[in-house]
Amino acid sequence: MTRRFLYAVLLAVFLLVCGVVWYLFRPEKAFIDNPVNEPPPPGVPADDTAPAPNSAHSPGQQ
Amino acid sequence: MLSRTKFPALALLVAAVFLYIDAVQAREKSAKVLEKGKFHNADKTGKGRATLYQLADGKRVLRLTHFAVDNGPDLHVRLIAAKDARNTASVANTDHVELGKLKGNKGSQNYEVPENVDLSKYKVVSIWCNRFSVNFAAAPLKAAE
Repeated sequence: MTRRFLYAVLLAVFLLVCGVVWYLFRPEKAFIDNPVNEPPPPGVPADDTAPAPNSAHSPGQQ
Repeated sequence: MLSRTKFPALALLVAAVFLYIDAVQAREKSAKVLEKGKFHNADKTGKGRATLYQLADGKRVLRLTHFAVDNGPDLHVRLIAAKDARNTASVANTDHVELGKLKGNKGSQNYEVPENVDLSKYKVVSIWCNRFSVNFAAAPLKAAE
């Protein structure tokens, strides 16, 4: 009974530590998936509105 | 005293001088485009423009505009010592300079280029995944006309 209780406590502690470690080093936190919109540096004209034409293409398409 | 015909001419001359001085000052304050290029896909999808500016204070800034790249882990902006970077393998062991962690995978953003970076050597901007060493997208730079 005591040994079983000890195992249960160890398992609980292990799971708790795993949870804390996962929370601290969440892999999805490293993912960059957010829009930004920084203003141009001083002296740089505002961005022209038209996007770069045909700028998305695979190397094979060239 | 000034005659009626000479006064407007003198006024115009003074105005022209002031306008010229204003234009020169504005040109000195404006940033100079050093190099620019367009992003193309590498091992992932990317698009947009990369422009290298020299600011009035001498600092060099890389600005990404109309920019979008696939999301990914631990993406960084690199300058690579190559003419182009069509995939990962071709530039995996090429000399590079890290400009910083990618601020966002969409939208306009600026990155300061350190003073000691020789821009004649580094001709490609790459969005590089440090976690898996993958070249997501690249923009070969060409001197501005």
